[in-house]
Amino acid sequence: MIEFKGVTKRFGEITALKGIDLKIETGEIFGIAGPNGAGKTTLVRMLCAALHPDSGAVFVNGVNVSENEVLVKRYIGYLPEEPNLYERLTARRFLQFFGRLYDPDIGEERIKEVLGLVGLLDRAESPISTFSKGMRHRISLARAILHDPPILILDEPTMGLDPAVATAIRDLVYSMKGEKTVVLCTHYMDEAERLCDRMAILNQGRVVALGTPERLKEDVSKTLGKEVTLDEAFVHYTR
Amino acid sequence: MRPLSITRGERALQTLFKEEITSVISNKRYMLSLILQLLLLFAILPVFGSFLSTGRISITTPALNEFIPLGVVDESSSSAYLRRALEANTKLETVYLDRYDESALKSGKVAGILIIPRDYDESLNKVLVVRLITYGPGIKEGAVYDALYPSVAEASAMLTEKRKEAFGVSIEDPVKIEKRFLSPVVVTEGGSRFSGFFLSYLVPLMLFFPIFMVGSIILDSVVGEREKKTVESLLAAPIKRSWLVYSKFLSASFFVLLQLLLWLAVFNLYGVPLHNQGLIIAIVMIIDSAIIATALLLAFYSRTVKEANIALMLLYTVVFVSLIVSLSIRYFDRGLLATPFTIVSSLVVGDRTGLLFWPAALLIYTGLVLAINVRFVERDDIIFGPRPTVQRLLEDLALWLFSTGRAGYIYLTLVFGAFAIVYSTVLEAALGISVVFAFGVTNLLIPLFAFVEEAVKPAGLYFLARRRRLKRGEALLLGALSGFMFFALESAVFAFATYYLFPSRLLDILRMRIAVTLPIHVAGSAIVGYGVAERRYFAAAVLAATAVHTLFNLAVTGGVL
Repeated sequence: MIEFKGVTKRFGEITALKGIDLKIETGEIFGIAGPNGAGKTTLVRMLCAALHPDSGAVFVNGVNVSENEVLVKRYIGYLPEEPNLYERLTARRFLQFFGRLYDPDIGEERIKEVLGLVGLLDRAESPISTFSKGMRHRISLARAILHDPPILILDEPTMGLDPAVATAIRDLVYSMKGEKTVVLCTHYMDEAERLCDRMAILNQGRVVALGTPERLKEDVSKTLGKEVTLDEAFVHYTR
Repeated sequence: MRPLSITRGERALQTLFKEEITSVISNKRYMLSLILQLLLLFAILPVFGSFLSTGRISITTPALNEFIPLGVVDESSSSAYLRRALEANTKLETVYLDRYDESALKSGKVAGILIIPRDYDESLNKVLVVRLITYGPGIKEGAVYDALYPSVAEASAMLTEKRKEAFGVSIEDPVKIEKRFLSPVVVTEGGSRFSGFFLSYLVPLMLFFPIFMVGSIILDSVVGEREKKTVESLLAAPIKRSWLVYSKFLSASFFVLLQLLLWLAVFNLYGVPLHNQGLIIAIVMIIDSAIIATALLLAFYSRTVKEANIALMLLYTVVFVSLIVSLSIRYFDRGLLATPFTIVSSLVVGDRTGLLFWPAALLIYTGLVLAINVRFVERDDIIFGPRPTVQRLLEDLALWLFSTGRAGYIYLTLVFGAFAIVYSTVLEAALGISVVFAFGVTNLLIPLFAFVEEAVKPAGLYFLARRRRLKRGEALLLGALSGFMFFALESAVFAFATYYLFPSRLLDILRMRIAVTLPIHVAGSAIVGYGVAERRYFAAAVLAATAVHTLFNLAVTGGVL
């Protein structure tokens, strides 16, 4: 289980997160939505210890992330919003490098398996600098799942991708349902509705809504007195 | 979940290190410049190395452009050929002396004294020996010898011709140079063949070239990684942030060491007689490590590659100027105390003096700067922005030091007392130059310097007071401790200088400082500390401390103390 307890994070004068309290159950696909600058990326960066809270704490299975970051990070796979790749490396070398950082037991077989899973096996020896945007997202996803982590954090995994690649990634995430805990940041409400068991909507550093997509829609529908889509519910919560 | 341990950390660090190395090796521009650098070294060594001279090949050394003052004592009755050859020598400024004058040599008026003895007689068909007396090995001696040798060879050649005409036969090279040194240190055969300038100046200079090449590696490794945002993926990987610093530091050091070894290999290949090669490697690497750690700090703090480039250029300018000035003073005036760079110059020619202080100080400095680097990368604002101001960093440091329990008082005092030495030196230099230029009077400097020191010493308290209200007693104590720390560091600098310049006065100076300077610094800073707690008295406190300090300075400069 993942738990955020009173997490606050400031960047200079700006407070990106304001006392976030949140629980994510093991095995669920949990969506995080919110307008630009709401604090989604900050929240997930904190979960994978790329950022540290100014106050409060993040726990993974009861372990404080900031105090045991090396240990906790082994359980987590992270797909950042931008792929951030080492351009000069080939796809295989890239995975090999990260594989060694995560788990020295990751061998060539696993690298091949993951490359196959994201459809890049035939480009294993190509330098990443020659990859298209979709391929970059896929190799980045391959890195995130390489060490078979029980927790997967995906920050805008389908943003700006063509429908075919986006669908392939969504299918892959869906196939993990029940097996892995997936934290999914997204702007696409249809994606959240299809994939997420529960979701939180963030606005100006606070959780303004939390529940299943159905529940969020129902709550807004009751308030407005009409049936709404998840997109409309999102607008309602974040206006 | 599988049970996991963090004992894999070392392997992860190794992976990061290897990746940094691979990244540099795959950088074609860097590798090309490395190869070109080596080729250049192969090409220029013969030009400078008088080792190529066997008497027949003309010697080319930088000394060609110098006028080396050579005293000549001619006791002989027949030395016309040699005198003619000496006068024709454009490298030498020949000064004829009535008698052998050791003081001229010691004072540096002449770089060497050539004695043409009584038994030197060019009319006889025998080996003629002249004596070249120099102070000792390693500095100008090689250059003097190199400059003198062509004249002796020319005289030899002329004499050989003349003797063949007169006697029908002559020994080859009839004129020999016998070398003697005032200094008891024995110079090696190599030292006699190599220009002193080459060994004492150019070789140490060249040994520091690799550090100037490694800057691009550091920039690409730190700022490039941040700009390309690959650092985010690394931070999400199971590694400690400090490993990022260590892997970058180690890889930069690795390439400096690699180049240094290559350069030494080339020197050895050409037969350049370098002493203490193991020690040279160690000392050069200690110095370079300090520079690498500083460059890393600048790179981590820079927002963009452009900004980091400017910062690195400034660092390199300081290093380069220090290097050139140190080596120049070391070469032209042997009396200067050791700097880190001159230690290498000394080692090259077999002198091991000054080995303890600088390497130890630099190792401490490097450790400290690496620790700051680690603290830097542990800050999210350094990695992701917005970049904190220096004032913010110092405030955070003050708070962190203070929060470390009772010892926090001491840490705060130690760190900001040390900073105060740097601040006050820089401020005093800047203000001093400005005041002298603007008003043309030096008397103003006495109260001005007192003011600067009194204002700067309790800097830690200023930062602390911005975050929390200080109690009067607490501020008084912290101020006094700041003054003590400032005194301790200032005294260490004084002691170091005195040890080199007037070693017999060391204890007197220390006694004097403890008796008089210590109370002044402690009392002054305590008064200002009180002013920090009671803000309405702050200006009065600083003025009072400045007044006491000024009186002390006047007493010292007036010779009362």
